Amino acid sequence: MNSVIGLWIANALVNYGILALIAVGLNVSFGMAGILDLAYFLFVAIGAYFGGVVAMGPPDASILLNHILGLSMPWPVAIVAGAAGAGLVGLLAGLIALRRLRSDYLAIVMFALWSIGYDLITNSSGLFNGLTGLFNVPQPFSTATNALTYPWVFLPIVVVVLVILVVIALGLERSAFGRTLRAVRDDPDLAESLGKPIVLIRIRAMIVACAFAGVAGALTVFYVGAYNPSAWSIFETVAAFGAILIGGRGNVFGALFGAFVISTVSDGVQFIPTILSRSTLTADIREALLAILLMLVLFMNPRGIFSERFGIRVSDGSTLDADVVSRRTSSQDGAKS
Amino acid sequence: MLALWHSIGFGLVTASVLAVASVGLTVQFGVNNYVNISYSQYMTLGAFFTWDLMNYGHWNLIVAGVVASLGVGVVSLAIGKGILNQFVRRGAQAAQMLLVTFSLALLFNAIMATAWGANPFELSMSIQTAHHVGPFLFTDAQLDVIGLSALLLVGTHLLLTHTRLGKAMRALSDNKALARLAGIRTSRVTDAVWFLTGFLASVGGITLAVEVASFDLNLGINFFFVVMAAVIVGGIGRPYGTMLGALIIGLAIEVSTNVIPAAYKLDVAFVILILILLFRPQGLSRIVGKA
Repeated sequence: MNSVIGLWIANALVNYGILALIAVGLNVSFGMAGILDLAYFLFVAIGAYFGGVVAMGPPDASILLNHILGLSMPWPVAIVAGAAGAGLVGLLAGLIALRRLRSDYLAIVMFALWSIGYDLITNSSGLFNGLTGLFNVPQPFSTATNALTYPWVFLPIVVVVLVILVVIALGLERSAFGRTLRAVRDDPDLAESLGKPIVLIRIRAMIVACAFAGVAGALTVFYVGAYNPSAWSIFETVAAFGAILIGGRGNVFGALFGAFVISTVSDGVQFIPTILSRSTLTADIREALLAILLMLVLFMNPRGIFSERFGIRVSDGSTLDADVVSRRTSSQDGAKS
Repeated sequence: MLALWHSIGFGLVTASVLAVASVGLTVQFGVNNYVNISYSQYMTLGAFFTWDLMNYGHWNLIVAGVVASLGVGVVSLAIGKGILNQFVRRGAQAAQMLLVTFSLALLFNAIMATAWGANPFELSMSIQTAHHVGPFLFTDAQLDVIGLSALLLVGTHLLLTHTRLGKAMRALSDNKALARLAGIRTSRVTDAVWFLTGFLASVGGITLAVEVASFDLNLGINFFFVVMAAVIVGGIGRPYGTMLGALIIGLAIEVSTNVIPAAYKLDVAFVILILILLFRPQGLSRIVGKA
């Protein structure tokens, strides 16, 4: 299994695991709570940077590596720190954006927040080493002998983390909190009239989603051993939204399936032979395919492949839920006629 | 004090660039009722087309810019009719259209990266001389940018107030159903809006490329939320409010460099954008009045 194909498979599986985490997290904020969180990759990045600086030791000016904290904690602690850091910044973003705004204005504010975050991180070299980014991050279980087969070493870590977080996400989806989130998404006025503190609920969803993103980011920094702003360009967000929209909003299995489609595209383009004069061609083809895929899904079937109710027992006696569903169908019928 | 005056001068140039781009966006936003993120890429495309015409066709900046912008207008019309209108016909809401146009921006990014690469480009110009205008100091190119912007804004004003097409655009922006009932052929007017706004986006992109001297693939997307800030400050679908918004944002960006590092100057616009959306989402339109 250490052949070229074997390593490609291992690398693709690790990439899939990380994107699946990203998608499962976005499924909480965008899928279940309906927050158009276009800044989502900012939180992935915050998780990566925090995870990195908690584990990578003090800065070293001789190799132009400047960053804050510089602790030497073990990697599991760093992953938790990444989740906490991203969750904290998510809380901050939520306090700014979620208190008054809904829908597309919210998306514009999130986009602006992403831009501010990007400028802050790329321009201040003392924070996370600016445009160069973090490097020399210690990789878990990495030894001199396994460097060539590292994807196989890292894969079990991703699997364990993914399983834990998917179980949490499934629990969340089926919990009263999950139902409330969907109610707030589908009819905020109704939810509010039933006494649900909708702003607080949306901010909580945002924090959970950002914590998931933070874990995914921390895993990225440990897998690659480095992280810089090119890893979280604004267009990476399209990949995360693509995963949710392909699979279907508000469904963990949908997010897992959508992430599989997107990461297959991302890893599949690596088989396109590289042309020296156009070194970025593979990346450009990936971008174009992702964009076309997302537009096709939005055009053909905006609800995605898995319905929201897939795998959920429907009659749980929740009158709020039933009411929202009936209102939703009736309003759609009205729109069609 | 001199630095302050110079930064105000820069602010006027930035405001001129912004005004053209944001008037286009506000007219499009007003008629369509959704944000078109790929508008940012029409700006970049205009600058790239102009560069091609100048370097392969050996045309001068003005001729190349006009032809390039007409070309971008056609692209905008084709994309609008062929893709975006189809989504709207299927009942896509504003939030969904945001994702559609976001993907479209990504697609443009990929295509332009393949065609032009990620390297920096320059719209070559002759050596610039500086002119003292009052307390300000402008180069030839900056004076051209201000003049061109003023010309286009007056042109847009005349179009909106003195032609049937312009009046129809304003009617559509205010109330689509009512406009249709009044016998306005909405699909034709929408086509004209796609073309006109594509043209304005391209001119905005070209003047921006001239102002920043060296530009690359990210020209438009980096500047898009500055344009958006001017639109939101002025009020969506309000061309005159947006011109004022462009002036406010342009001055705020450049004057801020006296206080904060220049690397963060665009963030001033993002912060204004967020504050306005939080506290006065209708923009300053009530103060300025409707178009």
